[in-house]
Amino acid sequence: MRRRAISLRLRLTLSYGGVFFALGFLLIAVSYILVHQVLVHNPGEFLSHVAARLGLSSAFLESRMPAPSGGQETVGAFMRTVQDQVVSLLLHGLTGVAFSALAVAAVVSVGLGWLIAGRMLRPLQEIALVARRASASTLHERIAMQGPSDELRELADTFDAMLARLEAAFEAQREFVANASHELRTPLAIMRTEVEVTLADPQVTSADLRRMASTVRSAIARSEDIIDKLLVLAESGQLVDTETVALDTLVAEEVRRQTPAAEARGLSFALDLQAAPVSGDRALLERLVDNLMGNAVRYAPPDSVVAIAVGRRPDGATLRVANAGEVIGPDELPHLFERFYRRGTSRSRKDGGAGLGLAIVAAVAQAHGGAASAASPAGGGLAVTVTLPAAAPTAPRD
Amino acid sequence: MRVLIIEDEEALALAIARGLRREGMAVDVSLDGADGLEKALLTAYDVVVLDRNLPGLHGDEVCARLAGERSETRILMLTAARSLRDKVSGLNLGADDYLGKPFAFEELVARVRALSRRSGPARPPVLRRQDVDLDPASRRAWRRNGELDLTNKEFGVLEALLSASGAIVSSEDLLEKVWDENTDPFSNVVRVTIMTLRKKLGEPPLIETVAGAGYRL
Repeated sequence: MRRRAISLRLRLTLSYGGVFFALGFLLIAVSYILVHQVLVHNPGEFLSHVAARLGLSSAFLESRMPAPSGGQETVGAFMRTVQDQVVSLLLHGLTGVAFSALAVAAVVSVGLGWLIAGRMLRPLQEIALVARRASASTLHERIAMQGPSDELRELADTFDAMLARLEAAFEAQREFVANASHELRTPLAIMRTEVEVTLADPQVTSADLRRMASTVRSAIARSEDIIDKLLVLAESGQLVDTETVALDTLVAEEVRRQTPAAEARGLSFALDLQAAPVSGDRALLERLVDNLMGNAVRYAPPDSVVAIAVGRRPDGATLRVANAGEVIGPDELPHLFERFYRRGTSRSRKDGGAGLGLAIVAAVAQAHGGAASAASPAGGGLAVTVTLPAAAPTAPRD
Repeated sequence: MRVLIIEDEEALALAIARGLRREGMAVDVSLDGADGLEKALLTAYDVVVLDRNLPGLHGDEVCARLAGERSETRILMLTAARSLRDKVSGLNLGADDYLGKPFAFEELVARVRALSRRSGPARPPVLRRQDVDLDPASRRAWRRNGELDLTNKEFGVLEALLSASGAIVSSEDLLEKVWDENTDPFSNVVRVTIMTLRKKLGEPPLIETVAGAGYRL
């Protein structure tokens, strides 16, 4: 730890003590002057007051008497001298006591100041401790300061919120790296095995090589798809740019893009698009629509209809995509939104699904403050409904 | 040697099968866990190459069932999870070996061979009986120091007979060990192969036919 010149605690203590001492001194000085003024500057009034109490006439005060220093002086002058001596004694005694008391009080105040400053500054030490410990592996720690909501509490809470954001960002990164390195192993294994087995064949034909190249090409396409989707998932954690996006137009564009693939499988689209402006990140919303429709097109049985509806609600918009297919049990429906979840047949993987499509749909919807839900209609198949708020989205994590 | 591949990635399963067949193994492929388990329980495979992350019936479950009910079949688990914990848990389920994806195909072949030596009684890497030597790893066989030029099936039959160490091997066993599931069990492929193998082995005759039981070397 870096050495500090003078600790904040000491500085606070010294300032307390200094201010206390200065004010105490000032107070003593002021009272000295005031008392002095009262006692010294109206001597005539004092004298006549004393004479009145003693029943002395003013003539008597004017009569002469022998002075202690020799010679003659009036009684009044003598009394005035006595008065001056009493006043001087009084003031001296007073200031002496006052300064002793000030000295004692100053020492006590410095001591108390030291303790109080330590107490007030303890939260800062806590914050510093957490900040010093904070690293990628300890980002889950929080200061979680108790006590009144004062400036230090606010600082601690702000710090906690920053840690939470950092943790979310780190977590998204870590998850991306872990998922990518895990999910890319399968296409890599396909490529490596295919190439090694084919090249090890001494009688390899050009047809074999063509088959190898085509297998490798689809494995590459799959790797790209996985990386793409994982990136979208990682980015969906935090919305950066939001703008007003016409959900219906977005869907119409995507329908146009997917029509060739759908027609190849004999699928047709049934559209019901109402104007529905939503606020969000255009690129992410495009991925949401793309994955939702791609999922439906991939799993719809040949020669069926994919129904797509965009509706407007007072608080936002809904997008519903439904495709025919087998009945999905209600307990399986929530799992559809999990990452890398594949339904219990190998069909899905032969179709090249990475098991990320609906996870992206859910993540993007949530990032926008919306939600995604799935239902399996009575006749079978899957209907996914996404709700998106029209208002400016609020940050999902914090 | 009879191998079953249970792997839901079709491209990978077919590539492995092609490679192993070229190594002279009789290879069957199953693309999902339930079907694979059924096959493995029906046929005495020497080695099952099992993908761990199977949809439907999970590879772990297939592994546990197989290890419990087919203890002579060796299981090589193949998986994308390469952490130490995954390896330990896989081996604890009854897998005999563990290989992370992606792998070098050579290594897969070597491991499958090593496992097959351990299916049944332990076998030496080079098989020898009388004046015949056979090295499964290099796929070469010799008689009286003269190398034999054998087809995959002939090689497989000879390997099965040598592995039996003098015990009788039935045609059904040979069919199961050397040919894959696409072979018609009522065909005479075994008889024909034994015949050509005898011819290549030359004199004096080594393979003995035990009437009604099978063959012996």
